[in-house]
Order: sequence, then structure tokens, then C-alpha cells
Amino acid sequence: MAYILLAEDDQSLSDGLTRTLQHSGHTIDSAMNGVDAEFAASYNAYDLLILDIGLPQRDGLTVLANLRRDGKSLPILILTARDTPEDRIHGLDVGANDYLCKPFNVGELEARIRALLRKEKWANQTEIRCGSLTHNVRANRFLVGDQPLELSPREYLVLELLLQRRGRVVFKNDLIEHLSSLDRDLSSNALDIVIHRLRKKLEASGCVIQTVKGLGFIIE
Amino acid sequence: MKKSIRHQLLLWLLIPLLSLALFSTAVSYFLGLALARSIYDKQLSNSADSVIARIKAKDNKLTVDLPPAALAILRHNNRDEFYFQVVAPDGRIISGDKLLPPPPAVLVQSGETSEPSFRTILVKGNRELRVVTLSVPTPDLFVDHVIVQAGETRNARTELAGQISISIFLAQLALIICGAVATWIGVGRGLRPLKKIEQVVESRSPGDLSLFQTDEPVEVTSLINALNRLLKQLDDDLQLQKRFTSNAAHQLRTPLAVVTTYCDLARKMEKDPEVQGVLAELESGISRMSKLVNRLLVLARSEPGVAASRNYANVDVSAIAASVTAAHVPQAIRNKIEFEFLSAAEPAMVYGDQAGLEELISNLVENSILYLHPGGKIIVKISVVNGAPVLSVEDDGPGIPEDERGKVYERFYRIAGTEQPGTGLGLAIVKEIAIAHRATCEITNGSTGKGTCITIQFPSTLQ
Repeated sequence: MAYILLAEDDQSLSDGLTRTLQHSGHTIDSAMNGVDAEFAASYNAYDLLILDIGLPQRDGLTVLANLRRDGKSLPILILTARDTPEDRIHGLDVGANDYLCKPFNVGELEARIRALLRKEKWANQTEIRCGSLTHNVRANRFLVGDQPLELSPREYLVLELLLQRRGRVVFKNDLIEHLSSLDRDLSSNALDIVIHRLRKKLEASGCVIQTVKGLGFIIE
Repeated sequence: MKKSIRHQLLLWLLIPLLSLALFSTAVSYFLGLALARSIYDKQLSNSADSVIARIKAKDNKLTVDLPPAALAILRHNNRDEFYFQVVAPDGRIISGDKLLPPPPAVLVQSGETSEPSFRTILVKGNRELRVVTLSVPTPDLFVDHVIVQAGETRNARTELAGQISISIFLAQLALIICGAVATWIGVGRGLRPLKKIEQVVESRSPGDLSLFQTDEPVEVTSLINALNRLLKQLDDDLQLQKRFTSNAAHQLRTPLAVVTTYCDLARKMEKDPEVQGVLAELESGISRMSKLVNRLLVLARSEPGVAASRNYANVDVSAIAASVTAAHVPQAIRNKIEFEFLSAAEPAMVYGDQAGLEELISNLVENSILYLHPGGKIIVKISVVNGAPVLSVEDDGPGIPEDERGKVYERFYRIAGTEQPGTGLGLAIVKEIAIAHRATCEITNGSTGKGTCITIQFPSTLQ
């Protein structure tokens, strides 16, 4: 699957994570201190770096900053016990792609690793799926099964944004803003009508748009 | 009642001053009496002289020719009684009032001309009389000398002394009143810097530990310096606690992560369904413990002291509540729980800590989700009443019995009979963060009479 560098100074956690990730099919190199981690990341083409902040010899944030300064663009996931918002913001500002706090759920860690690896390939991503609904990004069209879905321009834009942020609430205001290229100041009621029509057209696809009253809509 | 510097100062000024005034009034009364004596004694002596001038010898007999008109002149004022007596050397009263006591024997016999001698005596009717006694040679008469006594009551004298002392007392009283008023105003002005400090302290947010400026009078500067030293020490202690919290976090979290990882690995490697069940239980226990550790650390950070070091800014609670609620929607959908969000027409501005407020709202929403059954509904509502933002999270779940409502803020308090795997810290965190924002927390029934409604009332930003 992927070639991952794990920089974690706790021997036991490092071993456990290595074995778990190997079990998922990844190839793991591990570094026990900051200097080794930076050296390894500089000379090997890893797909991903999992970086602890509290590393001996050279702390994780320094390693992160040095790698970014040297033009390394590999995705970096910070794994740390520091969870204050300031720590997160600082870590992301310095150049991390994601931030996960200990103690973490292993399933969540693996999901984030998958997401980071996927992001790398986003440029090539052409399809988003939900039930039997498919969004072909290149061709600018939606399919239910094999059948093309006829959508008005408003419906198209709304469905596009909802699918892009699948699993998250999309605020009404964001949708209205997204539609501003078509309509300036679209009313909230007009948006509700668009959603209503979309729901009817999606009935067969198994893809459900749920309303969150007062906030917006979500496709799960 | 607490002691007031103003009252104390006034009291300590007035008591000695008034005592002094009374003392000096008494002294001035006696001085006034002495003054009156020297004036009126002279007049009395003159009156006695006038009586002498009226002594005549007629038929070998001495008489005093004193008609009432002349007598009226001899009494200097109409408030006092006047008495006179002319006594022969043998002690016989020649003329005058019998009321006066006989003159001293020395004067009667010696017959020498002498300086007038004065005495104060008590006569019938308990009246005090001032009496002058003169021995006068009478060469042109058949006796060589006579003794003349003149006396008068002391009304005019005491009146004069009284007037003197009262006018002195009134002048002093006026002075003391002016002094008291000046002191009252002066102390008020002098204490103004303290009032100013009070306002500055009062208007500070609970988290603000910055030092005070010292452009105040010298006396207040020392107080401000002491305050600043205290603030500095408090700040140092907080930093220490914060470091401890962060270290403890690291020390607890890494081992927890290790256990989680191995538990997950074991579940992946083990195919036996019985062992899988054991591992699943183990995992759920670890996950609860992880949550507990996280909440404990959040709580440690939310305590007013530690929250003090956070960055406060003007934030829109409505926007924060919207994003926090949105983040919980997927979980609610999985639990078949419906969300409704009612926002205020205007922004709900609060001077506070964004991360803390996120934590607060998140805890309220998570609590509702945890205790709600499928099909339940959560209403998150933001309103602004008279410039004061109000946040409420309401659900139609089992509700909190009225007698439990005071206790649910306690750490690790769990309502008896609840099965949900809560940490017992959620509402404690809510309370701590609310206090740090000077907000109040209230638990009521939901609007339909059942369920729970927790209302956070923030202070008004309009001031």
C-alpha cells in the first residue's frame, strides 16, 4: 500500500503502531528521535510521515519546519499528547497536514492515513459516489446507476457541494454563496425548493439529503 | 458595619477637637470671671468711695446722706443688688444695711488707711456677695476713722464670663465644623485612587492577570505594588500548573495510546469470536478511560486560574454553536436523533475564549446525544436579550430530577440508575467554563415539560 515513516520515541507505542500498520498492508520505517526522523525523511521517498512532537534530540515541530523548508511536500500527520487548540493551530501552521491527539482510536488513525494518501491523488480523482449516485467530475455529470440524472444548474451546484462535503453539515449560507454565480441573493425558501426537487430526483439512488433545522443539509 | 476610613478619620479628628473645645471653654470661663472681677471690683471700690464722700457729722453723730437717686447711681447695673455699711471704730454700725457681715476685726481697730480689701461671702438666701472694705481716716470728724463696706451680687460678673466663654466656644465650634467638612471632602478626594483601582479590578475579565499601572499617589503605590506582586506570583503558579497539566497529559496519554494500539492489533490478529468479544469489552473500557483522561485535562484547563492565561477576544457564540452543533450532526444521525438550531437575528457577542466556549457547547450537546433515545430531538438555541447572549440546549430525553439539579455539576457525580457510559465530568466542565465567562448556568425542564433544558446566560456586552 504505502511507504510510511513513523517517528515516535515511545518504544512500545512505536512497535504496536508498526505492527498494526503492517497488518493493514503498509511498509513502515521507524525513527526513535528527531534527528534520525529528519535524516530518513530527507533521503527516502516516503508516502507519509507520522510525527510525534515530543521527540528527543530534535522536537517534532523543528523536524516539520526543516522538512518543509527543504521543500519536502509529503503529507505529515502529527501524533501528539498536546491537545490545546494553540498546539493544533501551531502544528498545522508550521506545515502539518493533519493532527491527531493521543490517546487515539486506531480506526480513526487508519482512516486519516487513508484520507491523507487519497488527498495526494485527488488531482486524478474523477468520481465521487453515494449509493448508486455517481458524480463524474471530469464530465460534469451525475449518474444514477447507468442513467444520467437531469439536473437544473441550481440543482447541479447544490448536489455538487453536498457530495464534496459528504458526511458533514453544509450550512445554508455556504450553499447560497455557492449558488451566487447563478443567482445573487438567493432566498432561503428558494434553496429549500431546490433541495425538495433534488430529493425527488434522488429517491431511487439511495442517497439521502437530510435537513438539519436551522443549520443546513447533510448527505451521509 | 465595616469600618470606613472616612468615618474613622472624622471620629479621631472630632473627639479630641471637641474635648479641647470644651476644655478651653471652661478655661475661658474662669479667665472671664477673673477679668470681670478686676473690672467690677474697681467699680465697687469707687462706689465705696462715693459712700465715704456722703458721710456727714451732725450733732456729734455721724450720718450718711444717701438719697435713692444717688443709690441708683452707685449700683452699676440693674441686675445686681447693692449694699453698703458704715461702721464706727468701736464696731457700731453707723449707717447702711444690716445684711453685710461685720468687717474684719484687724481693720476696725487699726484705724490705719489701707488699700481696699475684697472678699467673697455667702449671705442669707444663699447669695454670693462681693464685698469691699475700706478704712478711711476722718480728720474733720470726731472719730479718727470709719470703716466702709460696699457689696454687690455677682450676676453681672458671671454673665460677662458666660458671654466670653460662649462666644469663644461658638467660634471654636464653627472652626471644628469647617474642619470636619474639609476633612470629609479631603479624605474623599484622597481615597479616589482606591475607587479607581476598584473600578479597574472590577472591570477586568477573570482571566486577566496583567500588572496594574502605578501613576497613583505614593500611599497607593505600595498597595498596587503589593497587588502586582500577588498577581505575578499567581501567574507564576498558574504557569507551573499549566506545565504540570501538560506534562501529566503526555505521561498519561502515551501509555493509553499504547494500550489502544495493542488492543486493536489483537482484535485484528485474533479470529476466535469469544476472544473477540473479550477484546471488544477491553476496547470499550479503554475508550472510556481515554475520554475520561481527556475530560480531566479539559477540566484542569478550564479552572478559572488556568483559563486566566487564555486569550480572550470578542467572539460570536452563535457562530461557535453552529459549527459545534454541525460537528455533532453525523453522530446524531447515526443515533437517529434530530437536531434543530435556532439562531438569533443579531450576532451574540461574548468576550471570551473560543476554545473554552466550543468545549462548553460540545459538552452540552454530547450529553444530550448520550442520554437521548432514538427518535429524540435536541434544540440548540441562541438568543440575545438586552444585549446579553443566552445559549440553551434542550432535549426531550429522560430529564434531570429537580433534587439532582444542584449536584450534577459536581465532578464524577452520576445520577443513580443511569446506564450511559458518561464520564461524570461534562457538566462540571460546563460550569467551570461558564464561571470563567461570568455566565450563569441553569437547569430546567424542556419546553414541553419533560426532558432537560440547560441555559447559559452570558453577561451583557452593552455597558
